[in-house]
Amino acid sequence: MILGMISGDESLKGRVLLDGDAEQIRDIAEGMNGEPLETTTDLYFFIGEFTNMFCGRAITVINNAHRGMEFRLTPPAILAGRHMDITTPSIRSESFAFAGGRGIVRLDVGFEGV
Amino acid sequence: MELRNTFEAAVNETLPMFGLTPVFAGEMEQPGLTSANPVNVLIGLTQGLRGNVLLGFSRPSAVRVVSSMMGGMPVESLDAMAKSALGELGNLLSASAVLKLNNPVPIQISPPTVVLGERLFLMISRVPSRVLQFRFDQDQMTVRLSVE
Repeated sequence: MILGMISGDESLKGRVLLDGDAEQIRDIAEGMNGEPLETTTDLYFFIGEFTNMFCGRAITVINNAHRGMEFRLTPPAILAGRHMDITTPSIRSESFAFAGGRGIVRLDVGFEGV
Repeated sequence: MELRNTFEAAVNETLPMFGLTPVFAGEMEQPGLTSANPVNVLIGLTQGLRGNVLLGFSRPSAVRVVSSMMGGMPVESLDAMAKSALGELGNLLSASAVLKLNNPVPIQISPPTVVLGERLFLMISRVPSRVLQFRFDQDQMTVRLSVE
């Protein structure tokens, strides 16, 4: 899942990438839904919503801590495939990995010029 | 002016700077924003307009576009330099298109992300999207626009 975060005055532009093992991602999406998801489209929809909620919470924390930043989010994009290579050329990012019950979820965050 | 029109104008103005002559090859509307192209450039829009822009290429087309952007320099593969060039193309087209809109509230564009892969599937939105096709020589570029 990818989405952009941009400060109100455009002085900071960033990108959030959340990726993980398929089983762990499904576990999160089904946890949000409260029951198993039958279609891949529903899975993508729920994980998109999760990403929106997660990043929405993150920018609320940033905006509260740094008044005037007014970060906004772009809509999340859900990507699936094999041998994927995802690059945001203008950004140097940092990654954090979290272990869930069914695999790993990796959070990769970076900003232009930081 | 609508984003669809400003994007067509941006493509027609920007690609000739790299020696490419784009020809508009048709458009359609899709119920969501999805892509199965092996090479994609994703740009998010926010503030004045919230949505996503997705440029799609085949690998050979992407390599030739990058080569044209580098003044005809031979390009063998989509390495870091090539991905940077594709991202820059996304930046140029999106910035040009949103500026032409003259929106009362400024539209902000996210840093472009280049996505390569096999059997790729991108699902970006359930909002209907506008798909524009452009041809240049034997190559093709798809521009997908989705605004919430």
